[in-house]
Amino acid sequence: MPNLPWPARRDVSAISDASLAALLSGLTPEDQSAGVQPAADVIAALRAAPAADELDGEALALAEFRSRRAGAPGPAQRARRARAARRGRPARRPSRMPARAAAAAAFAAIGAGGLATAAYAGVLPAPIQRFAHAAILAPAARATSIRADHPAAAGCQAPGRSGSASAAPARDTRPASALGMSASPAGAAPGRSAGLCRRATARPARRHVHRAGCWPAVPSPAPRPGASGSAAPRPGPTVRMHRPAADGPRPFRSCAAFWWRSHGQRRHWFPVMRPVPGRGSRPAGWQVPRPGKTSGHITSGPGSGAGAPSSSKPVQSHPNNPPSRQ
Amino acid sequence: MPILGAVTGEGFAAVLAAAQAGSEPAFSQLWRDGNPALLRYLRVLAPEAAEDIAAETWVQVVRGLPGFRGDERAWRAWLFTISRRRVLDERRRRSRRPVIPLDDLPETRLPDVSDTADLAVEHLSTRAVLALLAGLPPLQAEVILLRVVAGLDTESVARMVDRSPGAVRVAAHRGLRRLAQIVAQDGVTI
Repeated sequence: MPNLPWPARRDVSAISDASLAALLSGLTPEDQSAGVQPAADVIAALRAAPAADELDGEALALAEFRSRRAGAPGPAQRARRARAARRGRPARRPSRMPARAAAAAAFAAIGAGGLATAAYAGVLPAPIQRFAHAAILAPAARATSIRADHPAAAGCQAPGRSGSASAAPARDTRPASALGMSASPAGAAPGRSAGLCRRATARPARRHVHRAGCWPAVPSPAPRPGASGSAAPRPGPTVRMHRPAADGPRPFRSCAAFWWRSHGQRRHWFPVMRPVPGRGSRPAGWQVPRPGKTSGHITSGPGSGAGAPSSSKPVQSHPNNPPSRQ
Repeated sequence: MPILGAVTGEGFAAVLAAAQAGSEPAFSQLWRDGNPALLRYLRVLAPEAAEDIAAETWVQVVRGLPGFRGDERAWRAWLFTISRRRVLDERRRRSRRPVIPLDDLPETRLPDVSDTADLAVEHLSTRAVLALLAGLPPLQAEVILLRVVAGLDTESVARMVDRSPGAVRVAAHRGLRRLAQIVAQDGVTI
């Protein structure tokens, strides 16, 4: 054994691990040395016979057992509730609803809430939407598609979609041929519905002619000659707009549409850089349009009241800045 | 003669079945077997509320007794697990609102850790050993109590205190060595 300069460990005990394990397990250790005796005495004291004060609460426990068997709250429970009442807190009672029932109720509540939200957003399938309309006054179901040969196509509009001008034909359930739509489709419905009728009858091969939520009235760049419904060409700019003038509230087709209608149409959402030709000594460059100054360069059609463009290069108008608001 | 631990012995299954069927003598036998050990365990872990926690433990035992399945070792593990959870709840509650009514507590219920030598010299009874245990680190004291008083094996204790069996074994040995050292230094015989 090397002669180490430091002393041996002080915590090395005379009691071996085997003796301690035997003592803890309630056995008599083989090592009966003097070092084991104190540990055996400690364990014997811990396992001594119960004192009188350790058996005091037997009557209370039996009363609790008896009352529990009878179904009434026992003395310990009553004392606990009394203590809780003294502390100003309601006593904690055992829940009568099992955990599974509570989870099922929470799941049903969340599902019902989501269903109601979807119903008020009008995005449910038509039968469910009709049921929601009848049950919780959600918006009515809208037709998702109208076939060209469907009687509803005679009116060329969906209920509540084309405004008041074409509301009456929508309730006409006669077939299109009875209204003369196949012979003269554009003449059957006035105004904007005429364009839809043209589209509905011009492409009979398509199964779904138009969605009820679509706006069919994208103005045609050149009116079809001979069309009687919109015989007089509308004067105005020939800019192809993504959105016609709204004549009534429209539902949103998607979240993107909602965002676009509520945020995207702000005129000054962000500064629009537009090319400005050079004036005098200033070179041509980019300039932020100032409010009150006309800097748009919109190609105007005949009869347009917009200002004359100062540049020869037309600028396509952006939906953010529709020319009708200038 | 040690009387704690495996008191019911061979007839435990019959006693448990009778208690589950509603027999008061059977439940009384279970209570007499478990409550002294429970109180000794609680007087070290929560000396200020040992009786209250023991009563709450038995309330919960009465509530869950019809659904209990297992042998005597499982019964004792279940009993002390419930008690340990109540101790943790009590500690949490007292940490939120630390109110210690010292006037209400008799001095005999307070574990006097500082005068352990005097206690040992005077008389090394069960209560004195409990006071000595209260001076040990909490894990060592709890492990010794669960091994000796509750009569649980190392694996059951390890599951209860969420430690490895090796750590439980080391803690028990260290704690017991420390107790033996204290008793031997004071020159006390029981």
